[in-house]
Amino acid sequence: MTNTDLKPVLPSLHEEMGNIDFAIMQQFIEDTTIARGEAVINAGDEMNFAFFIIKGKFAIHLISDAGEKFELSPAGPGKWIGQMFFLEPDNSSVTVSALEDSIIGRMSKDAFDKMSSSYPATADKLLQSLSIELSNRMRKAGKLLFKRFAWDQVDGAEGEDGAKHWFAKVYCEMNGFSG
Amino acid sequence: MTSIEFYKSVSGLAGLNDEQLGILAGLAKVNDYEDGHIFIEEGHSGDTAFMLIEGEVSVTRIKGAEARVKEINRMGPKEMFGVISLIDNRERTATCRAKGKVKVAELDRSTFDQLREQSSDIARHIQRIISRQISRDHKFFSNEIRDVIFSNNASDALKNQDGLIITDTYKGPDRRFASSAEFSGPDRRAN
Repeated sequence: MTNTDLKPVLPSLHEEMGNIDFAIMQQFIEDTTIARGEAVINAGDEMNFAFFIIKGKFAIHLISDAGEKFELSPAGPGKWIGQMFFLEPDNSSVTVSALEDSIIGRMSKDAFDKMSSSYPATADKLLQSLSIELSNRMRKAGKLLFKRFAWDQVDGAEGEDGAKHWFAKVYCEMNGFSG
Repeated sequence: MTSIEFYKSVSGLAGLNDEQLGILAGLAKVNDYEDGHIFIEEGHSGDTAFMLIEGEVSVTRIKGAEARVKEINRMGPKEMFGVISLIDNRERTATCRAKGKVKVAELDRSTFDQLREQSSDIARHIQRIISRQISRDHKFFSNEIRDVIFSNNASDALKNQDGLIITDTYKGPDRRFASSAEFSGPDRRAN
């Protein structure tokens, strides 16, 4: 159980979640301290939990199937990572490691399932909230791409690196790492 | 009312039992529409989810400074669209229009809310369907972008306007950048 007051840490959930829901969620979230340099998750590992950053800063590296690394924007407090993995566990595509001593709130699939059994209404609201957030991120990413295509009529002047960084920006937008 | 057998054959509703499908079938309104009817309009908010029973629906998006209309998908029977409208009333990112005569089953948000009261199990199941769909779409898009980042032709992908378009639409199993939150069909990718 976390003692962290979740409401200010997770502003994006406010719309759907009431104080009582946050209080219930607290029971199913574990605070975990991550030392500087330590990884919360490594690419390729099964991710059967979601977490959000309570304090600190994390480096995020996207890893290809061949093991190549691409550094994305760092993430700070309030960001959910692996938002839906407690619904459908999967292997992580990113390695997330602490850039400084940090604290995360972690909800495992098991904890989510328990919350669903004991407090289904709260679990529903959490899912709804996270779904809306995910959907909004996709919408924003789609707009980024569409605007780009619509207005730029890209002529390739920015080269391969520029293009990769552009897509990395979209990836960050989709996955909530940016901002 | 459309027969329960029809709903049973919709993969997006797998997991609901006969009784639950019966309740859902009782609440959904079945309507016929003429060619050109607009179910969802890009830039407008919506509050209704649709399941196509007969006919085809064209999904288009307005593109570019010249505001050209581009078809990005064509849907057929048993495909659902506008599902996210049941939980989110933000502006829609594509237009869905009848191509010829169509028959659809409709479920609006107030009926969905009523369903939450009447049968929280069904509403929960639908909520999970929506969440899973969004999650899968998100994963699919993310992996596509990741592949582009690690490919040797990211700049080509940027040039190819038809190749990479994220919308709230389902483009079908054989197309790059298929799908997203609005749509789910019987043959969509599992991941």
